[in-house]
Amino acid sequence: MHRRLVATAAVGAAAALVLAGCSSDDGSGDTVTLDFSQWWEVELSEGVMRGLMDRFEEEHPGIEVNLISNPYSATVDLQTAAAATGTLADIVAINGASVYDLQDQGAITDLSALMDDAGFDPAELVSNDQIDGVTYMVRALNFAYPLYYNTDLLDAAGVTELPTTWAEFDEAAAAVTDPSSNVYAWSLPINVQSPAGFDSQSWLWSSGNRMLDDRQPNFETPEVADWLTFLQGQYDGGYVTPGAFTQQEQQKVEEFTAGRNAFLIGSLAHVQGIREANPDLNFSIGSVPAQDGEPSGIAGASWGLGIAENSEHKEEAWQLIEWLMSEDVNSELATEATGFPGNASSVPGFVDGDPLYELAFEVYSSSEFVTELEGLPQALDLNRNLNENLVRLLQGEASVEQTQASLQEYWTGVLSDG
Amino acid sequence: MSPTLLVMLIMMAVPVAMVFVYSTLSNVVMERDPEFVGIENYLTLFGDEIFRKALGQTAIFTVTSVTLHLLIGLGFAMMLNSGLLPRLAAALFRVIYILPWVFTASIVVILWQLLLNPNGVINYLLEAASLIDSKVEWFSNPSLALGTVIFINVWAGYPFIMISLLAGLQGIPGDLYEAAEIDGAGWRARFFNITIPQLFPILLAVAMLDFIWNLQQFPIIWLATGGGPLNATETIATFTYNLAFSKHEFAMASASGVVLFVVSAIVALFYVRHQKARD
Repeated sequence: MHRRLVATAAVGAAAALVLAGCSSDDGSGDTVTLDFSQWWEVELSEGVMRGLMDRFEEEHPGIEVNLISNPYSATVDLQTAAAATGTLADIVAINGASVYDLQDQGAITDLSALMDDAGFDPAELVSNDQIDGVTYMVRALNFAYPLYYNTDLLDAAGVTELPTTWAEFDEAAAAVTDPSSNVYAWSLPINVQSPAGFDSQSWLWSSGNRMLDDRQPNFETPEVADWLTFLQGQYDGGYVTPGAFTQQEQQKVEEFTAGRNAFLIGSLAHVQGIREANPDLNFSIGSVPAQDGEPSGIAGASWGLGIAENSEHKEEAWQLIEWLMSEDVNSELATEATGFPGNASSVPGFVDGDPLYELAFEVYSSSEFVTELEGLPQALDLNRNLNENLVRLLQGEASVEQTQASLQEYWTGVLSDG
Repeated sequence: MSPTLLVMLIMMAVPVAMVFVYSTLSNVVMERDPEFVGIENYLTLFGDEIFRKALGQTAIFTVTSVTLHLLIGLGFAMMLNSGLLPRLAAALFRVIYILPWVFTASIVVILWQLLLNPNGVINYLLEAASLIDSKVEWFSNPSLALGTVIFINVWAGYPFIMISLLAGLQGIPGDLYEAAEIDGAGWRARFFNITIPQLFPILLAVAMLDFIWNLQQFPIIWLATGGGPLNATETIATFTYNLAFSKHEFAMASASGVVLFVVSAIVALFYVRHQKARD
């Protein structure tokens, strides 16, 4: 009996120690420890994120930041589970694909109120996205997805001018494609496990058209039919790298980097990686061709920040967000991540002096930044459904009309529930 | 209550019980006050065409994988145990044959994605040998994808069976084979009348364990195809993951998880009874 009591007490003490270790407050005076769950540290150069946090801690005595770093998809999965159990980290890196679901679960807090309390002017932000009049996410960085093109492949195929219309792109694609040398015009990764890019949607958006109208699906339009027909023509013409239905984002970048694709629709963040992996590759950047010329929209994604509803240190968490959004720090973050700043006054350092980035900044500045899927309920599921329907269309199992109807039906079901 | 029981209760019984309870509620987690819906989630699940397809494909994936694991594992184990190979060669082959088991699922998938890429080495070799005249899309062709994923799973999983059976083969007394040989038994008779009966308890045990593991196989399928294209490689594991983390339907995901749990539990029960009978 005595031994059993001792053992039970020991287990209890161990559990208490473990729980004490999990606490946000480390018990040393008034120091507050903020947990910050994000994928940024993994994607930025080594030490950048920790360096920023160290500077924040120096400038804000009494606040410490514990970085919880995982790759993007693992971060999203962990956040979904943590939101369900009320154990979300104090600050969470989120994006437009997850913000709606997290606020719907009541897992992230009203940032509008925190901004008011701190006297922060939302006009400092490039965009202040709201759901039902409330801000739940602050966009720290925006990432544009322009068209990369391999100048050597285009020159060798006799394509002297960059295509600006779909018809011109079609001709250029036919000219550069050479399956015997494993060279294809472009890659269209439409996998279902991590539908991350905007390779299909960019063509529609660049032409000034959209999949939604007032946040409701609007697929049964002639413009969407033309877009689907264009994609079908590219696939049937053999201009798309084989294996599209299970190809991953990274594999697409590798195809371009290895000189096997003439075009790539990708984030600006790939520039440095491509240069390092293949210094001999000659490439440039432009707009994704529009149906009839004059491109008007460029696909975009964001790195956003939110605060957990269950956080006991919301005020301190907001201080960190406000610091990250300050003009200089935001510029620095944008430079490191090769993104565009969320602070309206910040200018990313990479723009100066590098012709490629200057060109990209020009394309970004002259286009409308399209983030159509951001802020939608189950955005990941909608993207997955889009890819499934595209596979069915390209596989020849559905016509353009059937694809439009199928997308309209599924998206209406999700968005009307949301 | 002993500490061991307490830990087991917290770590195992409570989560399992919660999943069972969740499967009888309306969209739990996402709804603040979920309601009791009884077996409605199960009815919806079995009414879903993709779930039924996933059930069938899980059966194909599991049965084929376990069968091939056993055949290849037994073949290699017998080869290593045969004494036909010189000592050094046997040691070398033992290392080579066990290699697939050393790699994590993500490395295994990346390796095979590189090899089976439409522009990859396998297609190049097949084209060079005039066995194919166009690039085969091993993962992206819906009629090939399941077979490709099974192939990778077989490659990654046979070493465990091989090592287990090798241990079993080494425990069979040599006298039995000598006596059989004196009686004029050929290799076939020796295999079916000595090797198989002597190995049977181990064969049955590893087959059941392998069955449970393959039933729940997730990382290889998810990383290779994500259940696609067009649900061609969808299994209960990927279907459940999608329900939870893509559609955020946690109650339905729980119901799907319970189905997988019940099938695994039946096999596990057979395994435990078999082990008890041996003891």
